[in-house]
Amino acid sequence: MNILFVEDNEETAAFVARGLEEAGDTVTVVPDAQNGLLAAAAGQFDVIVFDRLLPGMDGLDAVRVLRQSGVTTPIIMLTALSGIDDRVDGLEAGADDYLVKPFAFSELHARIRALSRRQPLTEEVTRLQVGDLVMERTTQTATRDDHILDLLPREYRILEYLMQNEGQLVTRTMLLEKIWGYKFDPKTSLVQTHLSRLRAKVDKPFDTELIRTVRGSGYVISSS
Amino acid sequence: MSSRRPRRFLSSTVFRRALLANLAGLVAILLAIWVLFAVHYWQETQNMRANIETVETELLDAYEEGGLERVRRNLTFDERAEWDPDWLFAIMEEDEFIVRLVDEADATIAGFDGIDPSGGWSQTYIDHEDFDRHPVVSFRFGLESDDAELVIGQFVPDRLLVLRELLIRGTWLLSLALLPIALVAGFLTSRSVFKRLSTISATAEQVSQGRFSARVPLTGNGDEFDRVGEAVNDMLAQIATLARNLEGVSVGAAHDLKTPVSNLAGRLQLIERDLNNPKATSEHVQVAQNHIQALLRTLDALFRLGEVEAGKRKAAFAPDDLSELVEDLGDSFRPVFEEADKTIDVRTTPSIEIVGDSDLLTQMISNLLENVIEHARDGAHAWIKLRKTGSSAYLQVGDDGPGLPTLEDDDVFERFFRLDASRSTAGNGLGLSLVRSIAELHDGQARLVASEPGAIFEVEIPLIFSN
Repeated sequence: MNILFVEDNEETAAFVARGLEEAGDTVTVVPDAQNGLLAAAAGQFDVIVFDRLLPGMDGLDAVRVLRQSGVTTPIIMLTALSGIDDRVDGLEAGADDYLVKPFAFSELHARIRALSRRQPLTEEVTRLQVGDLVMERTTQTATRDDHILDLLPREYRILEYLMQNEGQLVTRTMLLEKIWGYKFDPKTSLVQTHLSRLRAKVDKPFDTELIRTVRGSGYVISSS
Repeated sequence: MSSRRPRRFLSSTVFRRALLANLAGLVAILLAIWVLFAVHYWQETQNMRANIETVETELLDAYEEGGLERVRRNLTFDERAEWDPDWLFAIMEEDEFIVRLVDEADATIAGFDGIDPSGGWSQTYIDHEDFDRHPVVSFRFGLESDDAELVIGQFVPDRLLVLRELLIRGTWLLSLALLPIALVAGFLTSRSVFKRLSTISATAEQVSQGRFSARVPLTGNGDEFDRVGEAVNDMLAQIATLARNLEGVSVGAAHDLKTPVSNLAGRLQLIERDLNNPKATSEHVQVAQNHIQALLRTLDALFRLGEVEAGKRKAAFAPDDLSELVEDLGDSFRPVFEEADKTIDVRTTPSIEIVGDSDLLTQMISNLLENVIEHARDGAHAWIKLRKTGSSAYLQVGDDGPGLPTLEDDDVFERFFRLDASRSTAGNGLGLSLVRSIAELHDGQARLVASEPGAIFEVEIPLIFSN
């Protein structure tokens, strides 16, 4: 994947760029907003990661400019500000996702992957399939090996989100934001508990495990 | 301080107000006296008019009986129709009348030549070489058939003139004498006010120099200065409490931030030691990441607390179904309770709507639930109840043990409050502070309503949020 990373903090830039390159992506690092805008407008990028606090320009304004000039590339905003409103501001300016520093590399990586895959996986896709696990979105039913899974509404939504991101890491924070809508990190193992219940229904009665825990980060669903 | 510098009085508000009040009093007194005099003067002239009208009737009777000649005869004294100016003294003395009869050419037929007012009622003056111009109330009217006119007048009594003169002088004298008196009274008033104020400002000065224990001395008579002094003292006591709390908070914050950092340092050393053992290293990294998570959570909570207490989020308030929120949180947390070997019972009255910030309310309820998960005994039965009473929504979160030792209700809501002095248990002691701040942001209150056998926390939020 071709990623534009607009970030003035050299340490963060180096750490993220290295991680992405190791994962096989091409990264262009730009240290300020003006050049970031030029690069974003000129280049063909799959995802743009934009720091919010940049010398010379608020990253928020930069994103707004990009959206107004017709750039539709998915954008993730990074920020040191963790106020709830800051997040809303970022999304309203036209960013697709918002990540608070400090973050784990796996968190950013998972979100980049989720964004780059998002376009083909809209609501129109009525049938999701991972191995022998099939989800019919019109009837809101999930079956595995032709056995209907008895899922609670929230479990259904978690499974749906995992299947939309098949083969990709879905982090705990992503689940908290998308499934629960929580904008804070609960102390308790809320996500872990729900996931272990979901896995008890999806995986336990069957031979192969589809949902895998990535320690310290999140979950991946895949048939291999 | 200022009482030592009298020149400051001129710029003192109290002095200026006192002076103004005194002068206004003076003007009011003078005004009252002059109004009384005017009324009196008017009454006197009314009497004089009545008297003049009597004379008029007499003379008209005489005219009707004997024409001009008869009138002339009536006005003739000592065989003189034309009056001697010296007679005026006697007329004045005896409050008699001055009369003049004039023909169509304005020549005097009889009476006193020196009175010549215009027609009808008027006040005119009579000059005489031996006395000053003297005011006279006069009436001039025509005698129909002869084109002649009669003038009747009476001197304004001397006592009225003397009284008026007295009043004029008195007014001047009072103005001249009372101005200094007003100045002195103003000075004394403002000095006594200054004295009382200076005890308050002296206290303020002491406090500003760092003596926080200073208090305003009170006279005990309960006047307005005592009330101000009391208010200042209350404020100082409140500030002292806050300062003490703040000290506690910084110590708590330092402790809560230092613990994970020292744990991190320890883990780094372990990583260095176990560099050749990838399995152990990866274990250390995992633990280190958990410490960082704890650190970030504390920082986030502090940040959120600041955000809530600054009241910034009130702008985003919107109607919210609290019942739905509680049900949803109950569903989310039920598995977590079960995992922790506890149960949770959710009882809500449906459709309780409030105006608020649903993100913060979610965090508030989740903090209360997490507090139970952390502190209730294994196997505990917890419950969350939402009901509507009067104009408030009441949310209660409780459990059946082990509860809290009896303590001041407010303590549990203090930042970094821990029952466990060693701080070895999980948590950062900010969860309940955030609960209280969020409740207060919604014009509500958070309380500890019972501590034994199980703790019961209650949050009251008014249904209609008053902005």
